[in-house]
Amino acid sequence: MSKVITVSSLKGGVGQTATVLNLGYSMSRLGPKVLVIDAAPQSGAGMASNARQKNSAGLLELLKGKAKAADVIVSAREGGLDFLGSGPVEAEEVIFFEKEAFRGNLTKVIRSVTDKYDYVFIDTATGLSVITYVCMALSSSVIVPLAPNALAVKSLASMLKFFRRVRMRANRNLVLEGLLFTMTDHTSPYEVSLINDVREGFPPQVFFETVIPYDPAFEQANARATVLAMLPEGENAGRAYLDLAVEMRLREMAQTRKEVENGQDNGIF
Amino acid sequence: MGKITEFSEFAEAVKIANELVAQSAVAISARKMGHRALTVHAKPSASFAPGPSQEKIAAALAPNASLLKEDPLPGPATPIHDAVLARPSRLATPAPKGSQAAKDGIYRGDKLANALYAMCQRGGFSGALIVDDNGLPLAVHQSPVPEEAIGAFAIVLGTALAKAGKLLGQHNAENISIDINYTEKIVLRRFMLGQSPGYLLVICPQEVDERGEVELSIEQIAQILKRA
Repeated sequence: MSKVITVSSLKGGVGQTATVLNLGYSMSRLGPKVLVIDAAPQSGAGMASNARQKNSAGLLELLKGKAKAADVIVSAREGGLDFLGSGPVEAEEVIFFEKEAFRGNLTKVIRSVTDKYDYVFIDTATGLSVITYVCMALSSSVIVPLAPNALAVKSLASMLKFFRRVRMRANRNLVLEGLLFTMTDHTSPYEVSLINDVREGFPPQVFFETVIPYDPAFEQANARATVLAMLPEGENAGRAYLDLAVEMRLREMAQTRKEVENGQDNGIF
Repeated sequence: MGKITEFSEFAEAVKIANELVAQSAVAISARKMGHRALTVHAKPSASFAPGPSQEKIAAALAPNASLLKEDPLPGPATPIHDAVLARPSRLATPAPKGSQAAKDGIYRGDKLANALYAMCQRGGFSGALIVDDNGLPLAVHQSPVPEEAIGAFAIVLGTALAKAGKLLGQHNAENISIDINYTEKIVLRRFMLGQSPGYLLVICPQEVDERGEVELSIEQIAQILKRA
């Protein structure tokens, strides 16, 4: 059964799309089969990678019934990672996209493609919308990227309220995978102080241990339509996403240990 | 009102987060303890330029070497972090046009320096250095004293490690740790570069458990050196 993770943020420019692409790639390097879905009508992930050049069709065609999943999913060169874009969403089709999400058709389409993957990462549009609601409703967990600035932290309450609402109304099994500090500058005393203040205030388990540093290589990766780990100059930031993927796998092992502790295990096979 | 924690939005977010934790709506953490507090790091030095000459190293290693007589490390209870911050960054040496380094876009020294920088950021270390068995620094990140001096000191510690093998019969001893003041320590990890040893030296707060991060980075460093 695949683990579907929505990456969502109320505040823009916090590295949401970069997180989806780089975490998806890093996770696939660890072995699992990964699908990245760009559910944002503005196609941020599609533009940040060269997937749109390979195949411009995507969710929109699936929603219209004009294509089959196999025709719109793009596979990465190195294998293990597939990409499903949003398709060529024009201004008037944004409403169609949202309506389809409201009618439940987006859920059906996404569910129809997730089965054969171990992990599915969904990039949603920034902010709160029907699409974000639907994506969270069909997900196992949510990652919230958080840049170390006051506005991003202040917007967190709204994001968590939204998450709580989805959990209460639509998906009782939804969990918060974690808040992820992104674009951090360890040389800035202000940012370091803000991160430490925020971490001290919140219960520790809501944060990922891994912190993603800001790196100019992010921009280079976008310009070259690739992921950080593929760039020689992106080694550091790319390594942080690999650390994040490892941390997620370790969490799953910890979850298994907890289940064994509670007598819910059924043996190794 | 100045700190983010004083805003009502922050208090509200914390309240919801606590509720979610109480409802087991947060994924289980891989760590049982809390997060380590982040520390401010100095701006990373761009890269390590070609190293000092063997003569300088020999001079630093000599018994009457001025570097050792002057005791370049600050005295007890004086954190060296400030000294690190005060040091100017080195400038990157551009790769000669047409060279393999230029084609690859990066020197081996740059890659090693990047690896050290990343390790220090993740581990909360103040600085780090890689030296070969002659004491020649291959890469440095935030050295509190001149590279020649700390390279020489790494060899002194490396020699002590070798003695552990001979005198104590502990031939697998690869680590040595020394408290340099009340708050910081230097840890040396020996690793093999082909047939000869290399050393990774890190400077970090005494409360930091550096082993995991050092072991992870050794592998990366060895790979970079192997590819060179």
